[in-house]
Amino acid sequence: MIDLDATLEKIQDNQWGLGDFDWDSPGAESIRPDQRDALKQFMGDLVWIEHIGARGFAALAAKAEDPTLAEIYAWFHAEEQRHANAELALMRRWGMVADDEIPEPDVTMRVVVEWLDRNAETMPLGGLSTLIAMLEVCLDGALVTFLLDEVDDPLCHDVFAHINADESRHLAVDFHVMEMLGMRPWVRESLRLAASVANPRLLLGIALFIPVIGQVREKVEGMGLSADRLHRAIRRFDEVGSRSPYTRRYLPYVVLRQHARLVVDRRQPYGAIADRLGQLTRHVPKRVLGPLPEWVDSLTSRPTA
Amino acid sequence: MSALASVVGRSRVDVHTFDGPVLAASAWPALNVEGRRVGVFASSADNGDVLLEIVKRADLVKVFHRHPGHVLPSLPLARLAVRSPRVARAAGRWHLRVAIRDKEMRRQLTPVRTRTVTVSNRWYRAMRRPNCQLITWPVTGVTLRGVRTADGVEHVFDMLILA
Repeated sequence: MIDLDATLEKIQDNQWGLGDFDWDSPGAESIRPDQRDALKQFMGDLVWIEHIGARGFAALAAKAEDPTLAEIYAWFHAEEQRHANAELALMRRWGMVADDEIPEPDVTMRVVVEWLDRNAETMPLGGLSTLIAMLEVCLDGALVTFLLDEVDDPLCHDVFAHINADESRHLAVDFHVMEMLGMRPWVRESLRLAASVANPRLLLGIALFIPVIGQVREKVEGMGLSADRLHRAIRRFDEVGSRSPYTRRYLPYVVLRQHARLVVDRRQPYGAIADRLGQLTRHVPKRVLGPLPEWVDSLTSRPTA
Repeated sequence: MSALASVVGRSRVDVHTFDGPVLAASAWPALNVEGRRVGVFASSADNGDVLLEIVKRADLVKVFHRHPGHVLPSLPLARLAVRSPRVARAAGRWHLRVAIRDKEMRRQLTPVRTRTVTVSNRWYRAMRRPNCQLITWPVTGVTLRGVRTADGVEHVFDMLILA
């Protein structure tokens, strides 16, 4: 368990901004022409994942009953936005986007943005915080370490050192919340969760989540990320959560841990189902989705406004 | 709670780091905001009248406001509604829906835990103007040039106002 007041203070004391970096410093030329296209795609997805994560924290901030936890989530909302902004600034530095350009999200990502815009507030706090924890473990443990192995630009390493320091605090709070919720009476909490999951909108969200995760895995594997790295990240989620008897029995954690194992194990039929869902999602016509919601406008690669 | 404390939520931010005028909203009639970029720390909608006047004259106004309360229109019935918290909250939600068409801004102005009720016709009118931006990110510091928020961006101003 962590002291939330002390954690909030630590978060507030460790803030950084885009203006702390020299975006014109040498190193941008280290991006090789052969890695440019795949890296652009990868970074674009990363920006959107962070931006979507920010929206998730905004929903958590509105749901948390404890005012200190709500305030922490409000800061995390802003921090995830900062990560997206910093990654966008890296893309601009590498000449992958123009000054005020935002990378075009693919259809699957668009569907998630649209769903999140309408339904983030309906998601139960426990399920959403556990999902965010799992995604952050994968992001930290697999995707970002992979990126840093591939890219030699020193500024990229510096930016991600700051992002990772933020993410480690996010994870500490995520696991704290899981443990806290796991302490509640198991049957009552599980019934409450089952009742909230019975919401058709939420079921649609879960169905959307499957192809998105599958596609991100597919893309990063296509770039050369070894399945081993993803296994290690999931094992970390497993190990850290299993340290506490309360987290270990907490239903959303149990379900998502099992799901994560299915995602990385290609021998399971789950992989084929996720691939098929991914193909289906890719066929959703863009005009059905309409314009991007207004909160997307808050993305910026500029240190000053 | 002071305007700065309600927005920043911590004591370590020193507004006097800013290399420009830092003024209280009460000094409004003497302020020259024509064509300037103004940052306003607003703890509540109480200063809706002053904000609207500033927004009308300034080039750009960014309002740092983190804990919105319920805002009722200045109507005789609204004044009665304030006496019943439940009615006031319902009326506040209706007023927000009618007054703010932008979905994201409406979300930002939706009270979450705050129960304060203010009566103002001008707060939302000021927010609707195209040169007015609402910033709900936590403030991490005041710099020489302006205000830095937790999304990593520094907002540059000519003047700061504590409302």
